[in-house]
Amino acid sequence: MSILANFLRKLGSEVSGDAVRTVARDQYTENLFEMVPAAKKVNPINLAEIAMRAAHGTPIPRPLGSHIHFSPWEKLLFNPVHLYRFPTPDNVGIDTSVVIGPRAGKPLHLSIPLIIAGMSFGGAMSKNAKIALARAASMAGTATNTGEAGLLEEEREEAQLLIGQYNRGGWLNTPDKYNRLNAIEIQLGQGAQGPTPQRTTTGNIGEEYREAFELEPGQDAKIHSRLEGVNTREDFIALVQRLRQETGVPVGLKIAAGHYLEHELQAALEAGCDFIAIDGAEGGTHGGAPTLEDDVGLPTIYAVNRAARFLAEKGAAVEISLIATGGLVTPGQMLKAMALGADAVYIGTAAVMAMVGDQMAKTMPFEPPTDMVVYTGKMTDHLDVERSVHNLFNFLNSCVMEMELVAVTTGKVSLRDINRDDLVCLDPYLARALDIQLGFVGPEEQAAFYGTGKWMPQESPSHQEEPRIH
Amino acid sequence: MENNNMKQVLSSFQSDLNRIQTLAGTLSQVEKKHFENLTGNENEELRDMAVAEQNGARQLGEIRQLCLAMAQKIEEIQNSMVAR
Repeated sequence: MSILANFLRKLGSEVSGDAVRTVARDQYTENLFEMVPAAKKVNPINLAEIAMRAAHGTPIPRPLGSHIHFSPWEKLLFNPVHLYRFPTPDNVGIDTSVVIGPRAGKPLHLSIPLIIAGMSFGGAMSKNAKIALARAASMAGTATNTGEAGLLEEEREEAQLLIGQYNRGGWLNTPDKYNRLNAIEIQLGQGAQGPTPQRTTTGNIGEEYREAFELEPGQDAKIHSRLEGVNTREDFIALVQRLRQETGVPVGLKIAAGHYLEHELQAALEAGCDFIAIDGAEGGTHGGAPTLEDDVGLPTIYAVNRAARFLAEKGAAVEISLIATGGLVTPGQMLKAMALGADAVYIGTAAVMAMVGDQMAKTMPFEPPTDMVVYTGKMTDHLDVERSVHNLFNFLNSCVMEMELVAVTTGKVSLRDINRDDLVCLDPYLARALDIQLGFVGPEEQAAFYGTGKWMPQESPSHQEEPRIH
Repeated sequence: MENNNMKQVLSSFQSDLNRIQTLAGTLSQVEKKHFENLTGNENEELRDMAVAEQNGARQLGEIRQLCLAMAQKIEEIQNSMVAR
């Protein structure tokens, strides 16, 4: 054994020594080391995608959205309190519940502010994955979302609360289907792909998919850039009003965030939407063109801030629920989005990762873990539904408990009470954009730091609040 | 239904809701205590039970909030009936 070990060690030493000598002596043009600066110049992701584009000649569908961290969540920190306000006593339970669409006839009551995002059966996820998502959501007292799909009976059965997307494929847009939902989300776009068209070719459509989507044999599943029958602002307003009247459940709008956000929100306000889901540029997808993922949209942090402030200015923040989504993967990020004004957050990528969790080993090292959950994956049979439910339920619970800890440290009794005043910002421009105090200097020195007469006192009266000692 | 009857029914609903919210609050505290007792355990089964208890406590807390909101709505209806 020791002879073999010595031999291998000597061999390794010879090979590495030879490699180092070759790297040192060869001209760059003949040197394998050229790959290192080359990969650093274009970055490994772009390098691989250049090769994929060259091989396929068509847009390449990258799963899970952009890898770029557009939203600087790490520049925001929560403020712990000790004497300014007292921390929440140990024996006080933190209220984590939230109501979506409070003015609807049948509002959506959730135990936690985390909702499973729209990930469609067939277009994105396998049936088992959808069942696991729905079951875990029900256990945690929250809702799941159909995504752009037809009505999957198994999902409807498992989900106590199901938000259905009135979608651009038209698969859920008939009364027999949308009357079975607990909330309707009119999907006009998504963060990762905007309102672009998508197509699943018939070769990737199985029998259950065809049945749920009511497709003819040989028919592709197509998502159009516009919702059928909605070509003007008035069409959209009429649709929202009709659905609200017909169903009594909260009717909302989901869009990809962009710089014309306020104009689009104004239309939602005029239509009487009960909730608005804003999907930032970091939004995930089962597969979208990298250009749409990396170069289109508005990052979640700015989108949530702008949407929340717009609703507040219009006096609609209480009546209209705001759901933030797009790249929110940690409880801290989720809670920061809520502190900026979101009532709840959708989680997609994080939910899928949590579900797969300790099952990753089944696919490694030859397939990615998502191969077990995507509809077209080769290893969907390997997903253990019960384990997935267990993992996702635990993840949701763990996230909410961490949020509760922040509530205690900020002296709040409800997650809903956490707001901008509980945050401090570590970037001067961001601080001004988000109307959050800058952490570099004390509350009284903010105006002097910026060289202005005052620090937006009219919008933030609580900034001048006297310390409260209970 | 006569106005007086309606008032009685509403009053009874309000009383029941207050009872339910008190029970939910108490049970929520019990579940929370169970969670605390069961955490810190290496046994996976007990750990899962702790998480389920914590989740139960949270959902009971939500029931409590719902009952409070409903009782408040009933009070508003009662007040508007008196005003009429």
